[in-house]
Amino acid sequence: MTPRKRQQRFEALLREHQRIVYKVAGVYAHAGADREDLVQEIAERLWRSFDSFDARRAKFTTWMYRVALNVAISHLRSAKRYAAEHLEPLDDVHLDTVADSIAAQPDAMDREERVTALHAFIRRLDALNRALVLLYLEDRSYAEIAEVLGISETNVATKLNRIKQKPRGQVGAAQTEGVGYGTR
Amino acid sequence: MELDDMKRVWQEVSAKLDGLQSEYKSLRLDVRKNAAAPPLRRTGAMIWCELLSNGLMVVLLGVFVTHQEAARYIAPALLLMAASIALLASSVLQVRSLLQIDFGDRVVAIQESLERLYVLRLRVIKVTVLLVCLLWVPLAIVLARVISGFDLYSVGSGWIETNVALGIVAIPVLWALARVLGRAFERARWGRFLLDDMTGHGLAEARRRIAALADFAADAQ
Repeated sequence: MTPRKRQQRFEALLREHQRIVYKVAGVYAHAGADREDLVQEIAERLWRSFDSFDARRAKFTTWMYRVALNVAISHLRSAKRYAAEHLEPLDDVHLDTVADSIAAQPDAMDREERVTALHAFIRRLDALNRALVLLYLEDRSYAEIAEVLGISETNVATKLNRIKQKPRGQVGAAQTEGVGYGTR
Repeated sequence: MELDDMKRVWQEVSAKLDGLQSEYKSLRLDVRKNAAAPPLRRTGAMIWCELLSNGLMVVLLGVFVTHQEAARYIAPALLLMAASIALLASSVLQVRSLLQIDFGDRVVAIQESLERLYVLRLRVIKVTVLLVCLLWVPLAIVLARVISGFDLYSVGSGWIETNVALGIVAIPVLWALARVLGRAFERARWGRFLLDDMTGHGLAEARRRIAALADFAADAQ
């Protein structure tokens, strides 16, 4: 394949699946210039890593999630972002606040409020748990989540079950500070 | 709101956004116009620069040693050469680690590789600061000889002994200073991180992240 054709093929794939780039950037960066920067960083890294993509080893979307998440986590970890995004740890108080605000007006809550609550929840997760939850929300199978993250399917199921079973506070044990990495 | 409710909200919003193509500015590959620095670009550039400068240092010191006959110049040059070779070896290790990082690989594995590379760099920074403190007298002797032909030994052995002692004393002083200044530079990105690196806070933080990565990857009970 000529370099020109290779680039055309990449650009076609990128256009087809660009929502993945925007979704990942959306949960790892603030709105505005920071998010645009991250989108561009991901796109550039995807292109630079395209040579290593082997369709026999992974689906394009799986590979794309891996690259996008690796770039986004590194982006989040960088000192500048750490200072700007110094997130507090997700503990009982945080989750209770989110859950209580929803429980208080379950019927009155419009979509915007629910979306805000969802984003508040995601943004309080540490980098790895954020990736796990994002892939779950994106309706990826446990097998694909395991493939992207590099953990076992059992581990994915256990972590998600914990979050599902204990959504109001007890998830705190599975989180650390925003930029750090989660524990079990 | 349960996680499954969140999933429904997410998919509702996603479906709406996916329908509005204008929400996603058509993503184009435009590397030349891209002002953002992808991860590792800056670190990678620094690692390659260090490899070249350490290699150059070894070569220049080799040339210096071969053109000297007096042992009093060869000895400090050999000390510097040994330090340069050690730093060159660390640069080679870093380049090897850097080249092995494939962002298309599994997230936990790549983040661990990045953290290990970071740990290696932090160690090199600490060792470099230590070497500068300990070897600045031999460096001054060689530089004075190369630049002006001046013989620093002629100043007297007292000068050399005092400065070697000062270099040794400088290590704990710098460490203490870094701890104090670390607080003052809390808002200055580069100052704070360099000082954190010197005091070992950065290293401790990186080790904590590696442990947390291993914990995340370990099968949950």
